[in-house]
Amino acid sequence: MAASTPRACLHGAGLSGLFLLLSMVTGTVRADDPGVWLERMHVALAELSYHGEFSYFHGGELASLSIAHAVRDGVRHERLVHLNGMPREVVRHGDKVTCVLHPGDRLIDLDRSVPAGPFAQSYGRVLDGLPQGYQVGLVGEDRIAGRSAVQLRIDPEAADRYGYRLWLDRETALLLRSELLDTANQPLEIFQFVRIEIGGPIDAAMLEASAGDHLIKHELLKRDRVSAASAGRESVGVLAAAPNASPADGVEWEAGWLPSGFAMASADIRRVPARSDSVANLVYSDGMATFSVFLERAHADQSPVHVARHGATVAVMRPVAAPTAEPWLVTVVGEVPVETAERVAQNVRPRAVAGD
Amino acid sequence: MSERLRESLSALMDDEADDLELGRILRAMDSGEEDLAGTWSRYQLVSAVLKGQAGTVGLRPLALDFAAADAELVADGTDHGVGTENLAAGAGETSRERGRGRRAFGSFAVAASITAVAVVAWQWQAGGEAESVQMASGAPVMAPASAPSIAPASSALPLLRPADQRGLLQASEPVQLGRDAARTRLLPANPTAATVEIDLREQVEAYMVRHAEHNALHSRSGMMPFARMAAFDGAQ
Repeated sequence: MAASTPRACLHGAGLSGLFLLLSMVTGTVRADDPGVWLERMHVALAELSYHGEFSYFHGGELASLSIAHAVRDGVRHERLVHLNGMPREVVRHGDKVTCVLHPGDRLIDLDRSVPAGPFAQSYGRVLDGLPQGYQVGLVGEDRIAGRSAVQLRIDPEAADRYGYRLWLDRETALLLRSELLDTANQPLEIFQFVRIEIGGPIDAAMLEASAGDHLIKHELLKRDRVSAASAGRESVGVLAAAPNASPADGVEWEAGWLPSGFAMASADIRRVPARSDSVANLVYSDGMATFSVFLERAHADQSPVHVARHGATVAVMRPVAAPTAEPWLVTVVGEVPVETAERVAQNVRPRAVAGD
Repeated sequence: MSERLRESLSALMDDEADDLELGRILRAMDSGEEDLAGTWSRYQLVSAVLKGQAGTVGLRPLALDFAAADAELVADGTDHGVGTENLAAGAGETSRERGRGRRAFGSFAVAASITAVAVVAWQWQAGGEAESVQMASGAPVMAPASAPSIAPASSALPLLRPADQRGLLQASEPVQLGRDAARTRLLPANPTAATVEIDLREQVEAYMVRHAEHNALHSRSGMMPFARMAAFDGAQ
């Protein structure tokens, strides 16, 4: 209400946008505008200093993690530690992300079977205000981790994606609790701080990875370079062959169907060291949900469709016709309903290329 | 079995279990509480019947199938691979590969009964005639009566993935999945097929890790997606 009255007054003056911006800054809008809350949430996650512990319920499993986050000289430092099961931590200094694992951790094997980064720079649209394809609304007030919170609903307009409930700290807009809801509004994933301190000083040691000779560290890097050919395409994913890919590997793929509002966020090709194969990787996002499409040569004739799910993450693997002698496999992984993943997988196709 | 535990189970069925109740159930599982699995299965069956889904959805927990096959494997150690070739996933394997695969499968089943982690999570589903036939003939909804010996090994397993069980009961996915044909989970009726499943499972898990990493690096919610890696648990 605070926003609409002054906007009406300035109607036609071309200043309404500026006024809206001013009123955001001065805080007159934010109390009841969910879009502003969302925007503040993103800023808070990236810019505030905080540390605490959160629970994470996913696929019937309850995990506990600790997190510390601080920005120093404009660089994000972040450390995430798994408190249950195998000791695992993830440490970020700017764009450099390191996973620290103990020997014998299953993640190590899993990581080897798909080549590690560098990750293609994501050029997905940055959310400005409200995500498309969703209805966003304020639900009410609540209390999380001892702090007073505002609750937001982000309901999908179609059943081809999931919905969200978010609890933001009333004071700082930091995300305190989130639920990912399936199409029947059942939570698939719950994240919730049990204790959090916001804004206090963060000890540098809290942001450093554990040291130890026996620990296994592997780095994930963002890559700045993006295939120019694939940038800017909205509806079709294109994979440019990596420079060292053999011609046979250079099959370019595209998504023949995408849920409305989804666009390509990145495209990449990586080698699997053990198999000297390459895996193509396309990533799509609508600003809230993300799914990845992986393409690889099949090693046997795997004709059935396979579906796996864990919590909110679903994976669909199926054969796909390719202009090569060998069969290919497409795997769609993401936090989307299985029907959506299935339809995307069904419609992935080699891109018709002139020449090459 | 205490009334309180029964109530917790019931809450879990209704998706209303809080952390305390979850903790109670997990502790009961750890201490080998008797008839926990049986009660859970009965609740599932009752729920399915109430919802009119019994017979269309295989309620048999995946882990039970692994355990059953494993018990069979241990029992006589002979090759049960006859007839597996008609399952597309198992076609084309040499008998040597099959042997290797069966050992892998055996240890997988053992791991399942001991750690019971990251195993039941995977509801493999496959399209194909074999499964359709199974559905048409009315798949048994409970653990096979022919394998009573498996009960001890599997007592705790059906409980492990309440979310998945719930997903099954809602029947949204097994039934509506795709437009091809009605589908059900690919039940590892034989060790060979199960082995192929496991290889695929690892591949898919690897992709899930990669997806989580990418999300964590690029999403605006920072490293939260890394929390998803909690799913890929434990040493092998």
